[in-house]
Amino acid sequence: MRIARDWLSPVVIGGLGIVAWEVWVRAFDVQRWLLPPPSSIMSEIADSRGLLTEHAFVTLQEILIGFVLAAGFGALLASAIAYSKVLERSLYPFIIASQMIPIITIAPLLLVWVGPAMTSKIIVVGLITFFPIVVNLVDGMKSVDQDMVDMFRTLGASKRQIFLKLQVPTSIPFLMSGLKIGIVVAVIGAVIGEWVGATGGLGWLMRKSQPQFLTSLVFAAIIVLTVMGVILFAIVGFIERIVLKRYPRMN
Amino acid sequence: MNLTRESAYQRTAVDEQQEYLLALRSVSKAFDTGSRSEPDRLVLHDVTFNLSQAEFISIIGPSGCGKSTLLNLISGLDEDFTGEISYSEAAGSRLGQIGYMQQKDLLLPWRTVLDNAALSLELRGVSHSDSRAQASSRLNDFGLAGYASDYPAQLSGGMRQRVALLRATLAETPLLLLDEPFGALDALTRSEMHGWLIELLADSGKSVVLVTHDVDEAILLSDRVYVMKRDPGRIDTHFDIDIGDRTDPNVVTSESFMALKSELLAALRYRDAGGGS
Repeated sequence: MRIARDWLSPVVIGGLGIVAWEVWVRAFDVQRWLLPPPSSIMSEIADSRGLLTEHAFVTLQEILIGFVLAAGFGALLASAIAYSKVLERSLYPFIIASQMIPIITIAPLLLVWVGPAMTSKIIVVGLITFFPIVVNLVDGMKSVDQDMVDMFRTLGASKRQIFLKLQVPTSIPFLMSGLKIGIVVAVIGAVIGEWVGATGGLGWLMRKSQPQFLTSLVFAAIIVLTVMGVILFAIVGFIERIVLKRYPRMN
Repeated sequence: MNLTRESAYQRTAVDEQQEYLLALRSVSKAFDTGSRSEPDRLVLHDVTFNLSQAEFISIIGPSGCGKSTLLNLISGLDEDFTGEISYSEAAGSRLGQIGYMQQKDLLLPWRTVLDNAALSLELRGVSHSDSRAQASSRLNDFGLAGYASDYPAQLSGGMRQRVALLRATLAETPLLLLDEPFGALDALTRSEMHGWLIELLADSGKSVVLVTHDVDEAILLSDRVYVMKRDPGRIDTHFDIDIGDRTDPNVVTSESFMALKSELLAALRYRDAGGGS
């Protein structure tokens, strides 16, 4: 089976890495609070699964809500830019500028303005996520083949019809690329947001556990976060495969 | 868009043009090379011809003689030219009033055959269901029966061209422009398409301007063939075609056909005294 063959090498290498880690930590008697062995991380995950699940759920909500809002807002913004050159010239600089200000400085500000609850995290996720979505979507709308546009014009199509019936479907594969990148940075955004200040979530859990030298718990949270990110990315990738069958890339 | 210029010309020339469906008078187009040392390249020079109702004309000529540019001008896609193009069926812009089938089928990959064909009606404001119904009723004529729900990727080249042609004709425009529509097809499919096209157009009253490289195609399908030369793109001469029954399978080897073919080939080869390469 192709899936098994694709995953064989990374799994084997990963497995060897974990074994090497375990052996090295035990052989050199490394302090548990400095670098725990995989075995203690695994038992931590089992012991604290309730805690981890609860906070994973918080982070997941922030990611998903922020992602959906970013996708919606990004689609509207991209449509406006693609529709009007004037809007493109006036909006694009602000969009780029929004990404230049480091999130690490915006997050604390949001904390002060909006509070430590989920909302400020959702905004952080949205800010980081909308950019790849908008850029890819605009590229997609601009990628439309001039011959196709001419064909629409010879059929008497209005600008609005060309936009809805040609540009939008043409840009769908590009939207998928934007969403794939978006979901990954959404995870990063949620953690950064929580790290700066929150009342829950895996990032908050990590931040709280580290000063207490609960390193195994920190690692456990990292692993749960990683697994969550990989699954989310895989889901978007799966949706992409289905969508691309109907809306292929035109070249 | 030079709407004002075109309608001004039209008002003065309307009596002269009334009997023609399409009339071109001294149509020229220069391509701005953008450099001061090189003069602007004349893509088309002084093109003049008429087309009546139910007439089929072909334009044949070497690559670069401006044949496709000419179709772009006639269709209304390009309004940057000097001279006059009058279309008796539309006072203003010709865009959307003339059926145009380009070399590439330009079918939308995300739409089924039926929805691709129905596009021309949809864009004119016909309801989704009505346009699909009308397209559906014509599928048989175009040899596409049973393929309504297929996607373009599943069809052969010839079938895709037929879908494109159905789309172009569904709006029932009096004039149809065909830009080397069968160029990408193999010879056998191409002659099949010729026979099918003749049948389709018979009694339809449609006028057609066909651009082609294929001399046989031009003679078989047309009432008149215009020969173009390049540098600058211009009409050099034309031939009236009379070969009897076009549906006769032996017509392509008949005496009249062969005679016309040699004349046409000679005209294409002929280099006039001051002409270019």
